[in-house]
Amino acid sequence: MTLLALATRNLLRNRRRTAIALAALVVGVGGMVVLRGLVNGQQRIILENIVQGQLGAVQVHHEGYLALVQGSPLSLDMEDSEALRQRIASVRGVVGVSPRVAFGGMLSMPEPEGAEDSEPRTAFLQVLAFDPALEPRVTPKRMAWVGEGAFLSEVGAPELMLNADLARSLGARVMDGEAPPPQEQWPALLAADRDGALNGEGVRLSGTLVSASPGDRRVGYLPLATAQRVLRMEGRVTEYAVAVEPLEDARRVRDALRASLGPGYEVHTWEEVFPFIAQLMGQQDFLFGILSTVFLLAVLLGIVNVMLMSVLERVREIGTMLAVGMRRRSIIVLFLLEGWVLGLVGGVLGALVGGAVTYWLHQRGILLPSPGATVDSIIRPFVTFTYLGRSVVMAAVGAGLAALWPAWRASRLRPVEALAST
Amino acid sequence: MSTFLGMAVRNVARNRRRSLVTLSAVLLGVTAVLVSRGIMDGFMRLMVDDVVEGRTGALQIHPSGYMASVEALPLEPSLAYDEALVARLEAVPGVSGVSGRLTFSGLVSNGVAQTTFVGRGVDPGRETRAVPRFGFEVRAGGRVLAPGDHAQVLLGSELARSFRAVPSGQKTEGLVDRVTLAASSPKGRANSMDVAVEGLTESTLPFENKRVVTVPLKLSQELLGMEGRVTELVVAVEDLGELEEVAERLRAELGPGYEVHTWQELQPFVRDVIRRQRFILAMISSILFVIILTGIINTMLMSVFERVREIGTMLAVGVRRRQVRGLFLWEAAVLGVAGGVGGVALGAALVGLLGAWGIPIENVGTGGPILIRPELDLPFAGVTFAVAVVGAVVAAAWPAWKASRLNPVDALRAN
Amino acid sequence: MKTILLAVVAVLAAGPALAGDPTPEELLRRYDEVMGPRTFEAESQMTAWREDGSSRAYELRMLKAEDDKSRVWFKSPASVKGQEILRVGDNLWVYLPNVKRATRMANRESFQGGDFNNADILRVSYSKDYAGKLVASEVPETWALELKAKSQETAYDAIKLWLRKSDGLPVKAQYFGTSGQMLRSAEFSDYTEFEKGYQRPAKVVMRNELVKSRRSELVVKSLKRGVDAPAQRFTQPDMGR
Repeated sequence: MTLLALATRNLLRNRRRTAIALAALVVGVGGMVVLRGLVNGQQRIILENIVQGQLGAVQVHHEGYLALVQGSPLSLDMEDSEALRQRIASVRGVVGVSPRVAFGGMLSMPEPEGAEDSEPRTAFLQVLAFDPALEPRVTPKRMAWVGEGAFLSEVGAPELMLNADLARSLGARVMDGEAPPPQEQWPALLAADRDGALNGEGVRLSGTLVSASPGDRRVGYLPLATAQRVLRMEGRVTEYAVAVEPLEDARRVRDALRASLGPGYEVHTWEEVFPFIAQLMGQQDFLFGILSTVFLLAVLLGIVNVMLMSVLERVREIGTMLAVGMRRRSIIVLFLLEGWVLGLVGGVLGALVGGAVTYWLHQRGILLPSPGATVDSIIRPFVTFTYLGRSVVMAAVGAGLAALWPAWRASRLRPVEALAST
Repeated sequence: MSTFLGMAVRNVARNRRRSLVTLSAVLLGVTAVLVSRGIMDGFMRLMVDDVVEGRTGALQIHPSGYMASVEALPLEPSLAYDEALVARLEAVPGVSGVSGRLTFSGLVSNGVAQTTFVGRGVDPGRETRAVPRFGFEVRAGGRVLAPGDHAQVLLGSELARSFRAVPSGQKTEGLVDRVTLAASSPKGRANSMDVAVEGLTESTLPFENKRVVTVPLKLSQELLGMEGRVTELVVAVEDLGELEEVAERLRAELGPGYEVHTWQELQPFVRDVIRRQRFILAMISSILFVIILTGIINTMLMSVFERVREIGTMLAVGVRRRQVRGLFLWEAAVLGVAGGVGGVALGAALVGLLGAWGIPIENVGTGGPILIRPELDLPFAGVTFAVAVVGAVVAAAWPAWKASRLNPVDALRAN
Repeated sequence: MKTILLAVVAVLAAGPALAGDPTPEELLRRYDEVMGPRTFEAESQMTAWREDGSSRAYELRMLKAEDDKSRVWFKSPASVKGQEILRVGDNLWVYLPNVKRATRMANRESFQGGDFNNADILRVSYSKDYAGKLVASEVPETWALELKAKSQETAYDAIKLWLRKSDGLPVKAQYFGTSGQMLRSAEFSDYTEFEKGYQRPAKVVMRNELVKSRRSELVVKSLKRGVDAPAQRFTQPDMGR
């Protein structure tokens, strides 16, 4: 009978002990899987907030745009065309393209009636201009940050959305779209075109933004065509934000876009645009790796315990095997195999249980309290099959290693003493 | 009862192998939980420290109305910065250091081109009292601002690159190691100063790299004609857990005309990230508890089931069932306590060791990796200990009860 | 912006050449009279050169009254046509025809790409704001005056002026920040008689001494002193009319 079959039969023979050892492995591996799922789910939330709430998965700019320090960023604008948008959209994995103009401007509040010498209520802010029909396909989470009022309505409307804190500081009120106050009471958005010549337009404050995003509060949204009018850059944009499905393909899409668009453009993934988050996640992964190791060690030491007990209990049996001529080497292999089988089965069961629990949690969702933001996030844990496979392998290998010393101990027994013991 | 305890201890001592197995399960479990928690706490501490000790400080004091101002970087009203005020603030219980800063904007040029910059005037002599990791973003090859510095500055790395500026000492053909800073006083007086570039700062936040110039406080005061004044005071506290209380004390001490903000209010994004991390780590801790308990229960079950014959013997010689169960529970308690104590001791020792060595972790912006220093949370250690002991006893209860129900004859025949 | 006004304001020349060695106060008073008459209206052209070599030319009309009220209308180029700037004391308003409204701006903002940053050297009320001292002049036939600010509120800490001995008109000037660094410099030329008995330099070239590639030229085409400039023309509601 092969050693493997013998090992399996031995395991099945002492059902209770095997069950107990399996239980430890299942809980250990399963627990690790669920943990990994949680960490993945949480990272996914952060990612979504950044990628789908702000940046977009991939960004396309004029060459040199991101590194530009001096001069107006408007000087590195791009000609927008249906053909170019199509070229970007035709890359496999791209599910949305949003043309944008990002610029710095000033918002000026009208002086209240009769007060001529009041403090100037003018503030600098960073404005992001986009097409309200196209942007939600790339950053759907942006809509979740609307405070009061409504989102921008259409691409050429004279509207503005402003960060709520800034609006409060300026004393700006949201204006109803149906029955807006007369134009003289609208705030004016002023900005310099790429040459520096000032221009402006009256805009209606259609809504406010609550910030759940990084960056400070001096932020506003403007419809794309309105921005192009004010900046005298009709038909031109400073950036394309691109949505990618699945998000993991972002790098591939970036490379494909670089090849497709050629020189004159630069393409970056969200991690390259905002490295802080990627670093944070890298650190989390590192931390998780350490924790897994600590726990794996604890579980495996438990296995060592179990196997030792098994060896010590089966002293007579081992003695018998040695006495009938089985080689010491085979004893070692036998116990190693018992360990492996235990590890393999425990690992697979643990992965299955862990996977199932993760799946259930995924469907159910775990509410992550987020005070301060309007929207609470829901963590949906998930694990990759690769990770499941890896845990099974680690459990098997680990259990095998755990069996090493007990196996060696077993092989050192002397048949006579073994047989004589009780 | 005491005889039971005595018997329990003797039993435990007698069968060394079996006791050791159970004890080590408890010990290892407790150690693992404490070490993991220590590492997680150390990591969280690092994130908070990054902000608190490297950027904003624990608290900041501004003139009233500063944060709500429509102007981006108002220079007026400003705060007086003198020894008396600093001493008064440092005397507030809980405060461990105070330093003044001047945040302003202006134009920087290298003679050929110019662009706007955001300036941070920091007091090199005192800044490390309030922000201990000040300077940790300086790239290798440059140096941090020192108390003797006057016309030496640090440039954001991208800003330096666009001006072809390098730290002095690295200057070669075509590069500059000096730039000119120009700004206006709150009253409109224009001024400029030539400064030497001593280092470049690098951070994961692009804005810092493109726009920020760090200068000695006196230089910024001179440039802006604001001698003896600052736009904010940065405060370090002894115990971050007492942050709100210290903030209240400062507000009471300063009165109206000042506003005090915690780092969470100053960096809401980081605050949110840290909050979510905490939540996740709490969930991780729970799962780890479950894993550990399982281990303890497992070994307990095994070792009790092994002794079925022994139980049968005891019953056969007339020991009552109740006493048998009690004995086992006591043994479990002894092992649980012994293992728990050992686990806490070993866990604390390991955490202390790792805390002293530090676990290196990659961090963009510094010259190299920074260190996680695990720390021990005593109440948590207590909870872990309690859980382990209770777990061991509970784990022993079922098999002990089961075995004690056996017919002595069956029990003697078992195994 | 406001500085442009000063540029144009500086288009004043008056009086015959001075006799005998003048005192610094006399020289400064004359400078103020010439370069910044109490009330005037002028048409001028300002050309600005930037670091990248590009240049931009603006055509302006300006009206000034009393010490510190001025208003500028932009005539060209098309991108700024119809825009106005009003300055009263330390307050600045910008009128944009698109918005049909005047917007209050904080003084420190750079305007039109920073093209008018240089023009702040044309602020003229030197006799009030600065104390002068005569020094030796290395430029032939000129008085050299070293001016030091009397308060912290002037744009510059110190100014050096070279004035023609013949008529007290400026030839060149240098402007210094509190640290002593030269921030701007100016050259005056094309002395023209704009009105009977009123002569002054028509052209001023202003340089940014920190970024040498930035400079501006202001050329005054016509100037009328003593025009009717009612206070109401210097109010925000009047802008755009």
